Amino acid sequence: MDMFEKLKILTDAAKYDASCSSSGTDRGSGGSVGSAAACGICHTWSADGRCISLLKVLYTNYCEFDCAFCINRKSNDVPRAAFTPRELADLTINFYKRNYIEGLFLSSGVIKNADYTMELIIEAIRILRYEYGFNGYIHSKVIPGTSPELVERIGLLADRVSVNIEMPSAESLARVAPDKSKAKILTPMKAIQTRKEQATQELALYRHAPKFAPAGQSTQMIVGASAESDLHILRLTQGLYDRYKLKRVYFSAYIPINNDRNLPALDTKPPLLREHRLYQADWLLRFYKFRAEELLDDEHTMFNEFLDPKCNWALNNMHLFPVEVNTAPYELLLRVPGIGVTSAKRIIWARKAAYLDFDALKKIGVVLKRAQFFITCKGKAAPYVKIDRDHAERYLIASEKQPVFSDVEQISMFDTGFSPQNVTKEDILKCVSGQM
Amino acid sequence: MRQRTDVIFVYDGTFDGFLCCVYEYYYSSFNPVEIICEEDIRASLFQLVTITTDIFKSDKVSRAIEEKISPYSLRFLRECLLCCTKEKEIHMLGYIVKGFKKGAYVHRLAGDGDVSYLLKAHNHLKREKHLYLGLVRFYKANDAYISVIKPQNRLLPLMVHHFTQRFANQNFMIYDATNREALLYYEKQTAIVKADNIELPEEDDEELATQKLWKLFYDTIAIKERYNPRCRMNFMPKRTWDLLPEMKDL
Repeated sequence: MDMFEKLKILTDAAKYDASCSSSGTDRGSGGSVGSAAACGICHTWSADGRCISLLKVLYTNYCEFDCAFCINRKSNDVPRAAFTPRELADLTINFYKRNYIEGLFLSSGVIKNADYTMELIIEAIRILRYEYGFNGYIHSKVIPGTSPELVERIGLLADRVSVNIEMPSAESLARVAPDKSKAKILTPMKAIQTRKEQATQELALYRHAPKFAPAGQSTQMIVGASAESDLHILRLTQGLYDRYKLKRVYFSAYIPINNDRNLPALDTKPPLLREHRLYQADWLLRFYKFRAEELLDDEHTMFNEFLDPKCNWALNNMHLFPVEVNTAPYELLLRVPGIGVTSAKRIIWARKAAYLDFDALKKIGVVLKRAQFFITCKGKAAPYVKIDRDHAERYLIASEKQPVFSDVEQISMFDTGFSPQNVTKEDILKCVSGQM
Repeated sequence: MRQRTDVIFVYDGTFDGFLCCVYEYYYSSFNPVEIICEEDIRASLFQLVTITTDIFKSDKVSRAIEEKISPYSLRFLRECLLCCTKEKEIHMLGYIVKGFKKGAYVHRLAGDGDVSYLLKAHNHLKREKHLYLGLVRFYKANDAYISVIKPQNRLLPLMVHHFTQRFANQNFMIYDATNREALLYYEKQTAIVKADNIELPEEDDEELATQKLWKLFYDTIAIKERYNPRCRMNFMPKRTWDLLPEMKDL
């Protein structure tokens, strides 16, 4: 099998992995090839609009496991391939030297058992790091059930490691992925966290202590393949950040590939809107100091389809608004819909020199579309804006980008065969959110 | 009193040249309506005054900016000169004049016309630089790696550090076709040179094979069910496509 075929099979099998970030570590060049920038650099964008910064491939798609949602499950009849460690290292370094990629993201199916597969992955990365002197970014998956010695080795070689949690609850996991279990996933995750904390401490004591997974660990779960609510998923996410100190939790809208009685039917649309709302909430947890309980509660277990989580929260807490831009603390500015980390920092930065009015806000780049309903400048609201829940809600819903009605026609007096389409706005929204 | 406002300063396009214009603004009676680079001279009703670059004068101004405004502002202005907008110089003069009155705080006067203009232009520059750190594509020819880019701003001075660090052990050249200059890195020596005409070597078969592999990867990684061309174009504008191997028909 030639390289083209292998790459095609193993890329095709890896494309459902959500993560492609290359941020979180700064590596200077050691005089050889490669460096990493803390901000992360995207190198291109694929036709689905996702950025490509890493060479994202599987080491192999041969697999001993039989996870119902996965295209590479044992019982599927798909073309299989495997790299050799040398092939993979050569491919990576060739792409890297041409500045196509920022590094490597290596995941894999399971050959023989978890440890054997991990050894192959480690060998590929070892060649890159030690033979080719590659100093760029490497993200490696850790297969559930890997032994601690190998977790230790991969953590010292890679920048980021991740163990996929796959499903939002132990029950769904047991149903669709019989070979994985909660313990097999959480044990390496905990081990990585403890070892990373130890390495950080050592680094404070000894300057040349080796770094362990300097870009931290992340995980990924599938949304829409099981019955868990948004509240459940968000609580789980928060728990992972709190207890396992994860850098990121990725959500991936379930795309039906296999026909399985434990999974939604094959004609289900991927719940892209739901995934989008979860990511919005995830950002609120990580950068805006929100807690899961503030965004959703037992009465509202799913996110509002029409409003983003932050707007929704603000409308339910109108007693906190309006906020005076010139005096409000950073934490409160962050809670205003439409003002993000950048805008809040810019406001704090600019108001030290001069009082800010709405014109000045526009000039420093604060977008007022949503924010205007929640702020005052020098005690005054924006012109023609009433600070009031109903008013704000109506405007905000209307200003969200709604799905376009593509089959609607202009009514004509001379059109005899005109029949109104029976598609309502709700139907289209349901399509987008994956309920239809 | 500054009586003469009907003049245009012409300088040589360097940062020192620009600082001499600032010097001239303070030590002559001219208050220029525009400051332009000598390459952009065009017919105008205003009188053109050519400012010759004098290191003594520019040094004096740069020291004054460092002391009376801030070292950061000097760095900021230096980078602003790389922006692609035509009117940046006159706004930079405005920035400096206000800076001498207000000190380091001038940089925060985001509501001010000159300052916000420069901040916006500078942002555009930084954004494009970051984009091009990813979009530069090298091809290998005779042990050297060659790349051609067509950015809007002058990015090469800002990219030197990143690329010489990353590809410390390979010789490379990045040619900026918009501004006709090249970043050369050869045997650990770096230089940015003006180059109006260059002849680039052809890609050989081995190179084409690597590009085909890359294109194959690019085409395969996209998820069909999530096809979203608008999103892709937002991140990667079409003007950047013609130099990317993954967007070519190989």
